[in-house]
Amino acid sequence: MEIGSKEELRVLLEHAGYNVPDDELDGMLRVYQVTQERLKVLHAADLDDEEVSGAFSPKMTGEGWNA
Amino acid sequence: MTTSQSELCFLTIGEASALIKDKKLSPVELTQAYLDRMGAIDGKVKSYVTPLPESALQEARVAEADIQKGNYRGPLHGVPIGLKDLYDTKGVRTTGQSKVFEHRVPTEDATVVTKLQEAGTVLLGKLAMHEFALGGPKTSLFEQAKNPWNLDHVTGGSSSGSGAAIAAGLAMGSLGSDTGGSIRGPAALCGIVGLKPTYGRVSRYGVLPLSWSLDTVGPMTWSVEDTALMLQVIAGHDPKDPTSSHEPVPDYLAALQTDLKGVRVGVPRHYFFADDVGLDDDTRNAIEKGIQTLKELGATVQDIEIPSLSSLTPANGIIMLAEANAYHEKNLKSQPENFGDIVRSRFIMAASYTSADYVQSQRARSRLKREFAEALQKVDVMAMPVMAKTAAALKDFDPMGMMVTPSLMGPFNLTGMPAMSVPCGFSSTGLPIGMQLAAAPFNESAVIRAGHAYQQHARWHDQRPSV
Repeated sequence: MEIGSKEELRVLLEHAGYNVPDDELDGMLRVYQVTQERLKVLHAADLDDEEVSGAFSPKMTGEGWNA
Repeated sequence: MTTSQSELCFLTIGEASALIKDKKLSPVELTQAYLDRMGAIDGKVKSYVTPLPESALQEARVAEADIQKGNYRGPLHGVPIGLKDLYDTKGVRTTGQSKVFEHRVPTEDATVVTKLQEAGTVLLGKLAMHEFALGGPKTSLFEQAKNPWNLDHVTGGSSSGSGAAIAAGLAMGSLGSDTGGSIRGPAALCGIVGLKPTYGRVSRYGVLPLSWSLDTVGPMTWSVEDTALMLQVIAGHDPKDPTSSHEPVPDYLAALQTDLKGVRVGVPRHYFFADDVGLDDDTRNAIEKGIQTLKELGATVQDIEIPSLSSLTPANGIIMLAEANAYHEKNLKSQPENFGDIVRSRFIMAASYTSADYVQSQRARSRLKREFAEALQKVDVMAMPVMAKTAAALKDFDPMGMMVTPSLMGPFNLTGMPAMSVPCGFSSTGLPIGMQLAAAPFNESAVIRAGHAYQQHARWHDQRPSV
């Protein structure tokens, strides 16, 4: 299966539970391919030991945690 | 409508509130002027999806009675505003401009709605937006707002009705929301001021989400002073929003200075002026002149470099759509026909992203934050374009266009920094252009200072569209 192809997109979406009509897949393909190119660059970036930005906080705050 | 009514609708919040405080302007008269103007021209602009004339007049009467009794609450008391249709309003339909939520009536107000009510504002109605804060001008519910500077052109989105209403004199202030530029984009294309505050500065509780880790709530107004007045009311910690910050709220009005002596301005030219951005000549010239004006006002200007901007900024779109897919998944599978085409295809496409894509994108945010922090050792404010081009004609709108060109606003959602669009001129065809100003997290004051000083000098806000 060609990387960034319509078939690849269809398989991925079906795996996620979406059956997308053919004409809609055609419309999505250009953005999918651009996104895949950008993801390649993103994954190739040397991020050393950077952690994810949205850090989990165990502090119990907010409504319901006032006690 | 009479000239005096028209003049009332073109007052800024700062101007009107001074008159209201001195009992020289009645909130009822002011609200009626807006309702009359809505009746006269909003059929063309399409900025409101749910006008609230009766409750607005009732709120104005209450405001007037309170002020007459000496219970003046502050600069927003008696001020007519509109809200993007993703802010929960108790008993008033809140749709996200989607058929999916066509009949959704919240039982509680969003925290910012409560804060604005407590400040004494008058709610004129709920404003148009791009579907679920993402889609383009074609949505599954309601007509789309038009650009008051040229009704054949887009407003930008997703806070489309907010941009259109402020520009057309159909509300004195509004709240938009910004996940990848949805406040700053329409502000730039409609020639008004729009501030995306620091992530966590303003509560998101009761605001329909697009992306929990990127969404921000902020004011859209005619002047920078008005933005400061609104931010002062809505900023602050909210225990109902787990990402809301405890950072103290400063006096934003203290930042309204008219010079920029001692302010260091940085221009990340390597990214924002690069060839692949595709800046049109009018925009490039207006931004360059804007930066020159900052210098004339006393700022020092230098080019700065954020090394990974180009390679890591796409993380904004990955995170946004992955989180949107998670929020909408159930409805995307059970009622896909009720989503507009643009929103449905983008939300569904995010199901093709892997967990590694999402995690790498969240790591990219950390790297960009580090690089911006280093740059902010050398400068106080950054200046650059908001959009590469002026508002496209509705007939030429390419829904995929914005997905394939580099984002000029996304970097500040990724890093959480405050960023503002301030009008900085017009194209040869009479369409507005916005300059983007950004600063360190929780330093909205720096952005407000630079924006206000620039606006008072450049005075682009003296021009109003003729609708």
